[in-house]
Amino acid sequence: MPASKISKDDLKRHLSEKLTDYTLVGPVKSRLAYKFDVISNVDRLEIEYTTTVLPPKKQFMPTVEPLIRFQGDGTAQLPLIPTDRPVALVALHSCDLIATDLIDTIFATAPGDPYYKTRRENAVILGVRCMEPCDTHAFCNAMGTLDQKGGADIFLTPLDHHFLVEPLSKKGETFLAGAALSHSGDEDAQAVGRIANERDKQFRSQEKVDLKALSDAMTTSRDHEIWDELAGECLACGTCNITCPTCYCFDMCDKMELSLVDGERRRSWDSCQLREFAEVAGGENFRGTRADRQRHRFFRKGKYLFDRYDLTGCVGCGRCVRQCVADIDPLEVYQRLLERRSARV
Amino acid sequence: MAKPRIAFFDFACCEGCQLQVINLEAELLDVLDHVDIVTFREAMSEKSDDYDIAFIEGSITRASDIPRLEKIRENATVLIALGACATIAGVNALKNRRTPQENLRIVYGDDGDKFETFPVRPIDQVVEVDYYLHGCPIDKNEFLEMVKALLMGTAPKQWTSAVCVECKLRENECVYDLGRLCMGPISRGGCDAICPAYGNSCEACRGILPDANIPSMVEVLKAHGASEAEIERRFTNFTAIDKLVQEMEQPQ
Ligand code: SF4
Ligand code: SF4
Ligand code: SF4
Ligand code: SF4
Ligand code: SF4
Repeated sequence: MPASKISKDDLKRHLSEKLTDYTLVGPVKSRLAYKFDVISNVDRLEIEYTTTVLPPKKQFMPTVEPLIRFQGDGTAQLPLIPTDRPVALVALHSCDLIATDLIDTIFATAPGDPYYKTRRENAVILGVRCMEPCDTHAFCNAMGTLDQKGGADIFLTPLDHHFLVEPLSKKGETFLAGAALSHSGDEDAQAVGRIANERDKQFRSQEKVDLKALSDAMTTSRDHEIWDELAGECLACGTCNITCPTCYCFDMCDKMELSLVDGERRRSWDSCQLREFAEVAGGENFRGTRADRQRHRFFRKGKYLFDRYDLTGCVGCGRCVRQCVADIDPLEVYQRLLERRSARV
Repeated sequence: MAKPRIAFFDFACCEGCQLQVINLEAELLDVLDHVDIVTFREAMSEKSDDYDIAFIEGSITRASDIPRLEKIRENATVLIALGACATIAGVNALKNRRTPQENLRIVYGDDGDKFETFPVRPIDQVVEVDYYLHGCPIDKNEFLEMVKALLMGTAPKQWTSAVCVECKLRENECVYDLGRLCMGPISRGGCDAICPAYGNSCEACRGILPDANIPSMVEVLKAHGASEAEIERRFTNFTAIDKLVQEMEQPQ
């Protein structure tokens, strides 16, 4: 357990001072929802918030990003990703911390993606523990991501007037230098335990998803009737992928200038639920039906990444079901697939 | 190499899409480095039947439109439908709720029989269309991208993703959460979700996507409190013909 704490006011003051050296990015409130945004005044920052519309990965992997600029004379340049000021990414929930770990595994492990890596290495991440379910859709507890610290450099636990503070890396320690930390005793740890106990009962499902069993169940579920059922409901709108913190598929296109010889190659977030996603030259489509695409989406979450990296591509953040107008719920899908498996054995 | 010759033609419409082209202003001058515009009623008085690329604005609303459009198709190498009236018959298709005779009587009263009309159709029900620029009105930048692609000989982007994609990429709050209805999940994107970005419903002015899950969209609208009449209105504001065509094509 952490041995330091800081008063909420002092943390704010510290973050405010850090504005001189760091670019601060954290949750802010728009009409109803929260979004990660650049903060110039810490009064706008909402450290205790419910899940954002888009995941924080947009900080390392912008929704649309130039990859290369080229000119008609054959010259080309890589875009400059500024690193003169480090970024402090503030108040990531556990689900997003674990999702960041997952994307690091794919994009920041050698050889890695230079664009992602440059931004990722330039950032210090402050995680924050959830003291209540962020909404009625969340199922991080079932996926085992709740309370996880992932690759956070600092992990904060909010209590009434304080945050408990755990520095978890050198970067984190550097960021905390000069903060008004004080000793935190056993009573704080006990308070956290009590609150967490109450919190856990409030999640919509108390049962843990067995991730290995899920992957195995998927292996034998190619022809499960659920894919056609989901196809009946799914609108193929792409929202579930665009809002998912672990999705990383992108599309690429060239944006030409009117000279018709100078231009820019860009990538932008894509979604495997869209009809064109698996279409190739000549019009052949490897996943031409919504059933194929729903199955692919869930296999990627529960099986493909598990087979290859021992990771599950769903952290239970609930963003997709929260924002899917057809209410397609991954937890229900996992439970259905596991049900049949247990019925069989 | 001679510059490609471009012509604009309008049928039943408000000519707002041609206006979007004129609104390009500065870029339009750069476009003229690459092309000659030979017919463009809204911007110039010269005319010519010698052109390579034809942009067609407006819906087909009467029998005499057909030979005129067929002639343009014959003359043009590439034919592009410009805006919702041309691509999906847009708001003009509202007229198809009544018989042509009723429409004539309502609009022209006793003089109705002096005019000619028939059920409205998008231009691809009359001639083959090579590319579509959707929207009511079109997006001027999308027009520019189309021209660039044609000049470079690459395939112009034809949107097949829903409005929700761009809506979520902009990190908009969903208008369903604001208590409004939205056709975005099954509507063709390309507009950068401009209506939801300002808190308004998407009215599907770019048409319903091919393969759209219409039964589920109806359920979603119902679940959000829409009455039968309201659902009918949402589906027929711009997309009466799209919906009809798709219902005929859908297997179930
Ligand atoms: S958000 Fe829902 S309706 Fe849209 S593609 Fe995903 S599952 Fe289908
Ligand atoms: S699949 Fe849904 S619940 Fe799971 S991580 Fe992605 S957005 Fe969150
Ligand atoms: S394939 Fe689909 S589920 Fe997988 S990362 Fe890409 S968009 Fe996400
Ligand atoms: S899903 Fe769980 S970890 Fe993520 S924000 Fe909600 S409560 Fe926190
Ligand atoms: S506002 Fe409309 S377009 Fe945007 S996400 Fe919601 S349903 Fe989709």
